[in-house]
Amino acid sequence: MDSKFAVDLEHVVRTYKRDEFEVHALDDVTIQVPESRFVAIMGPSGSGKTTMLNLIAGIDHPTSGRVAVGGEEITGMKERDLAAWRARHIGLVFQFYNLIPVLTAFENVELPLLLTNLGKAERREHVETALKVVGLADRMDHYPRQLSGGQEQRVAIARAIVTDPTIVVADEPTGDLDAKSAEDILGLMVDLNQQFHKTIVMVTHDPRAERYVDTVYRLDKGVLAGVEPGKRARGAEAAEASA
Amino acid sequence: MAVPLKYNLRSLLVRRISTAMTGGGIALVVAVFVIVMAMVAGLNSTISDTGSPDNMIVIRRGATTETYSAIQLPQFDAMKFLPQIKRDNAGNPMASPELPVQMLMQKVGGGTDNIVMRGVLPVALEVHDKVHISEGRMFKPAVNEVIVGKGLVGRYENCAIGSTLHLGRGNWKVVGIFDAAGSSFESEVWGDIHNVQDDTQRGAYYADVRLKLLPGADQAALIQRIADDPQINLQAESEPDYYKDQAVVANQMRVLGMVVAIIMAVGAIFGAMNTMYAAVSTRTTEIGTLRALGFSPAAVMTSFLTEALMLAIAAGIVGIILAMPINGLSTTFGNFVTFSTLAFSFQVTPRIMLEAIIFAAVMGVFGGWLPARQAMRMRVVDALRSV
Ligand SMILES: Nc1ncnc2c1ncn2[C@@H]1O[C@H](COP(=O)(O)OP(=O)(O)O)[C@@H](O)[C@H]1O
Ligand SMILES: [Mg+2]
Repeated sequence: MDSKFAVDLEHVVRTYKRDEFEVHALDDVTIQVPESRFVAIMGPSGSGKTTMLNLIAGIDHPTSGRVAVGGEEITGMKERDLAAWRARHIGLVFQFYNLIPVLTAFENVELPLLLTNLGKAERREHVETALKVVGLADRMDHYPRQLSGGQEQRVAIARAIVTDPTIVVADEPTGDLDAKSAEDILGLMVDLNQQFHKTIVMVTHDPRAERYVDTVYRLDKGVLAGVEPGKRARGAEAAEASA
Repeated sequence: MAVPLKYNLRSLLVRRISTAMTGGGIALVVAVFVIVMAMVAGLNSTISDTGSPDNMIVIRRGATTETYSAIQLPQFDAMKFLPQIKRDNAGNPMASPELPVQMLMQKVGGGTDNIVMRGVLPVALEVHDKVHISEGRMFKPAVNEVIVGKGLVGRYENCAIGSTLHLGRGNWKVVGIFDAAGSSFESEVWGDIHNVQDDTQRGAYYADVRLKLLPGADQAALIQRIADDPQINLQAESEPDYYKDQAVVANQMRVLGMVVAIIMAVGAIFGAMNTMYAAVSTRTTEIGTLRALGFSPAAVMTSFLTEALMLAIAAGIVGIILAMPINGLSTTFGNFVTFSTLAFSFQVTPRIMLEAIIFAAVMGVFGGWLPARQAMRMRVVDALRSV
């Protein structure tokens, strides 16, 4: 599967066994996300969004089908190689931020860099840059509990981009935020996408998100129910058309 | 690469109470361990220090201690001019016939203990070169005078110079106090061997003979000669070898102490295990996050094991500090080998401290192993979904 796509899923099935029942979390999903896009996976709760994101991030394995990210097939990788692969290629953003509470903002952002062979000084430089990008350079020594939800999510985004990953995956990054913070975070993601050309795959059921993304993939009961351009893309098309 | 240590250190500090309780359990076990081992070390050095490397003890063949030995005067006479034996300035051989006997002594504050009263000749002070009169003077021959080891002073009645000690059938006037570099002689009373023979009414025999050897003397040849000469036919041994065997009591204490410490350690290990299981379960999301970021299962396991180790080693240090006041404290101990009482002091040696830390670390590893393995085996997706 030699692909130029940032994300390439082919006939992906993920089945969970729960007691004697089988839950088809994803049922034969095929999508291709070109590089440097900001896309959203939307759908009702339980439709398989998180499952899909976990497969893309290499923290879950498909029951069948193939997953390639950044042109590299990860379907058959061993857990050890996969962990190293994640450290190099994936930036993760979670709904509840998942910062380590006993580490400061700086230390949280530094964590993924400990898996690289950067020296201390270089790590500091990278961490400071990442925190500057998310606008929290002045909160480096704060612990998560000393930050607001929106600030925590910014730190988490800094942690996701500090290694300069191939793609950033975000699972409901605005799900736990008030409207204002949610807009800020979405704006920040757009900036990352436009300034640094990061591919971002975001799971959300926040309807506001549509306005920020290039493409929306709709999932329903584990099946891909539709692929639509986001409003941003439509805006761009409209602009192109009028030009 | 490893999860940073500060993660574990701060996690321990955040759950102060459970850390303190678990650490307290380990610290107590370590303190008990240190106290028992300090006692064993103290006993051991008191017993082993009694010997001088250039001294030999001669006893009846087959006897295991001087208390169960007997030597006749002709045997002593046949032995004392052997060439390996050192002479004093007057040309007399440094061969000290001795007769240690058990006698009951009144304890200060009531009760009695078995104490060794050693019948000796003045040459004993030359042969036992660690023994020095620190107060008063040496006893005079043929009168009921004694000198008292300083380990007994203050613990037993009538040990002061000028007092009269009632030992055996007789009354003995205390004329001197001696020290013996902390060895077991300090727990003895020494008097003229002839008076001790008279008092015990067991005739003119010795229990053992101590020989001071010339520097570089052939010990093996001397041992052979003493065994083979039909007029002697006795068993000789260097004093260090002899006292090493006498230290079995200390080794029995060590075994007993280890058993007690291990039983207590099992409790502490379950405490640590409980704490670490709780830590793993409350930090499931953190584990999932670390794994998702790319930390390997082994790194996660190492991290939790390290956390258990940090806790245990810190607790071990606290345990040593708790036990430290015992260091140098002196007390008495009923000696089950010779059935006499021994004064000794607890010795918390660097080696014991190191062993205590290792012991604590072992508790940490045993307590942390299963929880750490559970952390390692968690599936990333499941750990992340546990929010
Ligand atoms: N580890 C699991 N074991 C069993 N069922 C699971 C597991 N993870 C997800 N599921 C099921 O798979 C389906 C899709 O879940 P998920 O991907 O989390 O949906 P979404 O993120 O869209 O809410 C749900 O029915 C969910 O209950
Ligand atoms: Mg979800």
